[in-house]
Parts: sequence; structure tokens; C-alpha cells
Amino acid sequence: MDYVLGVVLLACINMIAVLGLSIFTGFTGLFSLGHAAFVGIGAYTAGVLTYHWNVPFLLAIIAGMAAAGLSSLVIGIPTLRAKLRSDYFAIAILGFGEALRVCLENLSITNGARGLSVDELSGPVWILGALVLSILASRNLLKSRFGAIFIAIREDPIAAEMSGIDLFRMRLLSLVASALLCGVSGALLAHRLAFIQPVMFTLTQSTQLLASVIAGGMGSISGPVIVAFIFTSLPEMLRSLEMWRLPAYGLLLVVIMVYRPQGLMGYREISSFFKWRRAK
Amino acid sequence: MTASRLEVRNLTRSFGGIVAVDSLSFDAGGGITGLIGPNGAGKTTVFNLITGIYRPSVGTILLDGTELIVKRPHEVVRAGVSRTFQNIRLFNRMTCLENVMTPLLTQGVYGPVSAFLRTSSVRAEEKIARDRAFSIMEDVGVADVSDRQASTLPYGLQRKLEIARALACAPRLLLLDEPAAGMNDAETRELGESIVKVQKDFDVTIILIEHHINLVMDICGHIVVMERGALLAKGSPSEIRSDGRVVAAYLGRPRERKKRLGADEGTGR
Repeated sequence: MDYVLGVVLLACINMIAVLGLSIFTGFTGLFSLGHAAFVGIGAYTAGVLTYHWNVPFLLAIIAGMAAAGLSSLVIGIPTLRAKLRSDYFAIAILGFGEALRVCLENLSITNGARGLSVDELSGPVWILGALVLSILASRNLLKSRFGAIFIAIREDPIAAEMSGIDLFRMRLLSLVASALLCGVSGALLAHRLAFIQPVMFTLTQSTQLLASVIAGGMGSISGPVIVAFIFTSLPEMLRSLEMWRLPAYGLLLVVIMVYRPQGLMGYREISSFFKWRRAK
Repeated sequence: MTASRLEVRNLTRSFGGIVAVDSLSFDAGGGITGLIGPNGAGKTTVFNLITGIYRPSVGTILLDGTELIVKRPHEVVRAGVSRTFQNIRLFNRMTCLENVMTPLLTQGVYGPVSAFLRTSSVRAEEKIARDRAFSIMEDVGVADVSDRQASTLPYGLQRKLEIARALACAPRLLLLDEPAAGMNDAETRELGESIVKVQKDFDVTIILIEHHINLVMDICGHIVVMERGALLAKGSPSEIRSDGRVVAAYLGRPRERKKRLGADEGTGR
């Protein structure tokens, strides 16, 4: 039972990060190959604070969030300025993620590549509470004028600009919002696993986040969140397949791409699906 | 309110060695100004220069005395200019109402934190935007389809929806880039009536790029003719019609003209 709970909680932590990336990639239409870096910054900031200075857990989470948000400004301000091209960002953040890994591996405060053993502080209440708050905040943000602005940017950046939208500021806002959620996810992850290592936050993890968003449906909150749950728990469920786990995972992605190219939920929410069924 | 006045002076923009717009000067103010010329004359480039998508190599663009060329595109919109596009650019996966609401929501004031908390001011602002968008859609004649997804609309309605969205920016100057492209005569006439109505109802100065010469002659009070980036002629419709250079370069002699107009409609450009 503890094992199942552990998998569920891990899945919930991943769901928060995927929710964050969904704001940026799913709603604003910008690709990122490095969001795991924000998870890593959240994890290490919170981890270092509790490990070295015994900072209260809540403060550590907030600090992790803030650090991820600030670092997203550092990477976002120079790259998102590039007028209508968003590819610069995808490449720049890829480099940012690698640079971060090298830094984490060589700093003494992070204990280098050997990793940092922190206390196991995130229990079910913390994790589920954070997940619920994250979902509510994202839903409210995306229902507001900012959601409309993000979708407009995704649908047609030029028309969005000609509707009076400041592309740079709004893309940056979307990035910061997504980084904040990734930071929370990281802080929780560090204190769930009680151990963090730089290799946990590299391109592989970024790609998994991106795969969850795309497979779940761009422009949906529930789709990516559901897929994140499946993707995290699936490798555990498939343990009996041993080395065939990764091919099975890949096969699932291929099946989704072929039969649901718009993603699991497409552009809709699971709630609208129920409404639609009632209407029938 | 007096009508807004656009002054374009000595506007020049080159791309590499090609001079797309060459020392162009004209005024537009009060009513509808037609901007015509053969394909490739630089008409859309002029729109892109006015709206800040391109920076001119030389020249100034003043809207009621405010310099536009130093502004970024969204600042130009806030200064009172909005436009439609030659190839329709709607937010396809939004509903029609959401399309028109987007510029109104963009003008909103509440910040991300209020949005997170979904305060009552957030909801109030959204309701105002929704009502305003609906009323604009009624004026333009697309209110019936407000719930439909924009990409599912027939072509003519997409054009009108794009005009409605441009009006939601509360412009003083509205730039229409070939709104009648691909329409038949009856549709073109109806669109012409809507444009005249919009100009009066919203008290907005309009510049119209259009290849349907009859439409331009009917609704424009003033016409600017471009050829190869430069000004060829400007004046009232009757002056343009009788201008020998315009006839030679663009309109053609009466018999040829009919043929030419048919060809233009076919290309939809």
C-alpha cells in the first residue's frame, strides 16, 4: 500500500510540473526543451535551504518557487524578445538546462554529482494540497483575460499583436507562471524522494514533461494532468516487463499520436466532455 | 469628435535592393480613403509600415500629430490603429465572440494575482468585455454566429468577423486589406454597405486596399494610387477615373478594364 501511495504522490508532483509546462506550451504555444531545469532549481533551492539551514518547509517551497520564477526571467528576457520567432527560446533553454546541470555538479553547497540527501518532508497533505491549489490557480489564470491572451498568441502571434497584445510581456508572464509551478513541483519532489541529484533534471525529464503536454492535448488543463499521471505510474505498473518498459512507453506515445493527434483531450477539458454527454 | 487624420510623409522602405515603398506621401482623414494599385505596388507594405510590423527606412507617419514609426505594433494599436489582413488571420480555435473579446480583454486592467484569485472585479471586467463584444458584433452583422468556432465560418463572415475584432481595438484609424477579395459582386456590394455603416457608426477613418474598382469608386471619398512603391496619383474618384496615367497603368481602357477586373477576382488577391 505504501508503494502504491508513493507512486501516486510522485505522479501528483509530476502533474504540477506538467501543469506548469501546459500553460507555456499548451496555451501560449511556445515549445520548451528545458522546463526540468526549473524543477531542478526549485528542488535544489528548497533542498539546500532545509539541509543547510533547517528552513521551515513552507518557506523552502516558496523560495524554490521564487528561484524558479526569477531564473525564468533570466532566460526569458533575452530570448523571448525575438519578435515572432519562438524557436530561439526552445534552443536557449536547452543550453540553460545543461549549464545548470554542470553548475549543480560542481558546487559544494549542492554536494556535487553525488547528490543531496534531504529530509523527507512532503507528505500526502502537502502534495495533494499543492496539487489542488496549482490546479485552481491555473484554471483561474487561464479563464481570465490572460488565458484569452495566451491562446490568442498561440493561434496567431501577428493577429494577437494587432489586437494590442504585448507579445514579449505576455510570453514572459506565461513563462514565469509555468516556472513557478515547476519550482513548487521541484521543492516537493526533493523532499519526497529525500534525495536529489543533478541528472534528475536534464533533457530526458524535460522531454517527458513536453510529451505529457502534447499527448494530453495542447490547450487543456485536464488532458496533460491525466497523461502525466499515466506516464508516471505506467513505468511502475510495467515493472514486470523489465527492459521492455521503455519501448512500451514509446509505443503508447506513438498510439496517441496516430489515433489522437490532437492529444488525449484535444483543446477541451474533461468537464466539457461530461457536459457534452449530458447534452446528447 | 473630429475625424482622425493620418499623415504619411516621404515614406520609404527597401528590402535588400528592392524599394518596396518609395518616398510616398499622402493624407487620409474623415471617411474612407482607397489605396489602389497593381499587384506588388507596395500597398500591404504601407499597412505593415503604419502598424509597426516593419520600420521604414525613411519617412514619418503621424496619426493626429503622434509619430507612429517609433512604436512597436501593440503600441500602434493602443495609439488608435487597427487592421485586417489580406489572408484572414482569426484566432481559429476560439469562438467568434472570444475573437472579438480578445482586444477588449487586452485593454483590461487587472493583474495576474487578481486573476489567480478570480476576484469580483475580474468577473465584472469580463462581463463588460462580453457585452461590448456582442454589441460590436451586432453592428457588423455577425452576432448570430457568436458561439461558433471562428474557423467554421463561411469566408464572407470570417472577413466581417475580422473587421469586428479590429473595431474592438477602439481604433481611430482602421486599415482594411482587401476585405472583398474572393467575393462575388453581390457580396462585395453588401460588404461595401457594411464598411460605409461602420465608418459612420464608429466615427473611424478608414483606409481600404481593394482590387474591386467599382467598390472603391463607390464608397471612397478619396483615392491614392500607387505603382511600384511610388505615388502615381491621388484625388477624388472622378479625378482618378479621368487621370490618364492611372488609366494606362492600372485601370486600363474601358474595354480592357472589364477583362482585367474578371482576372483580379479570380486570383483573390
